[in-house]
Amino acid sequence: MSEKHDCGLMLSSLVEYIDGTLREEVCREIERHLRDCENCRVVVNTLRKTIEIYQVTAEPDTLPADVRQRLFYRLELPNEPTETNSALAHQPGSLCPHCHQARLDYDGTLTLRCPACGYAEGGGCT
Amino acid sequence: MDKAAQTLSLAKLQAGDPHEFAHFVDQYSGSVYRLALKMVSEPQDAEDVLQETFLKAQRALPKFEGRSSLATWLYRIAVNEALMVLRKRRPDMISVEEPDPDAEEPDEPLQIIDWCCLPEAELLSNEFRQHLQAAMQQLSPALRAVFLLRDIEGLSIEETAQTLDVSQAVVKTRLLRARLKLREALSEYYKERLTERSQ
Repeated sequence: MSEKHDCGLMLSSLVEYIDGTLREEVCREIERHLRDCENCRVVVNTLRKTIEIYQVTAEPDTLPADVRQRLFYRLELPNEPTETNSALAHQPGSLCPHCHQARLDYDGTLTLRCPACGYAEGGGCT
Repeated sequence: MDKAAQTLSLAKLQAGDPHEFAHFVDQYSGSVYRLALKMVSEPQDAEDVLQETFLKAQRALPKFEGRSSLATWLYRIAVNEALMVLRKRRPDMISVEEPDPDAEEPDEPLQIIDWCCLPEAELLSNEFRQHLQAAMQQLSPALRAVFLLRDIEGLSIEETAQTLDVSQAVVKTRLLRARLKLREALSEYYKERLTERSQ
């Protein structure tokens, strides 16, 4: 098989090769080619790195609290706190989400604070 | 996402139980918003896509037949909503059936620069992140949707095909083209950085 043909095979099988879903015999053939073809090796390595970079730098799939609030309002749903937004959804008198031993109350600086463990949230100043 | 979906009661969702629908929204809204943000780029447009997606899901759930998972069904609504936003923005550029993103052979890689081993700190700079975002926006919506569903949201090829209502072969072709185009864009970026350093 010519090198050009091998480069073409590599390119046409690249999705399955990167995803690890290629038939074993084709996979072996491509790996043989990669040992000898530096250009293809660079393409495969940088392609893998490209995907990894986009995955690593993707925003977390958590919804900003204000976006969630508007969404629930639009859908006319009960806006109950969830695990992901509960840290910003407590009221004075809510059970402390940290120690579950005492109830939160404002400490005079607009900060909700737990008198038992000192857990704090909110507050307009630093 | 399917694992999360197992804890939901489809019967309650279809009966219009507001608490169950709230759980459904909480499980999927983060992923839908992230997808929308990458598809349409503008946060306000992404929020519109998010809201319209769940409004449509709320109305359509009683008719959901379970031919696909709830996740792929919801992603399908979200992608269609995002395409509508893009069409409104550039009616001359976007059509429902893309100007054939599958017609050509995948572009051959042009940049053969090995930038794999550059410092990770490069990845965290604002400039680089802007470049990543710009490269993503350079993809046609059809290629962008495939890349986001498969490589960012982690859908399988089969689920991506179901979501976009295309064949698995089409998904593979678009995925290859999207990945190669993004790789070219990052190679260009690194080439410029390497040139600057060598001067």
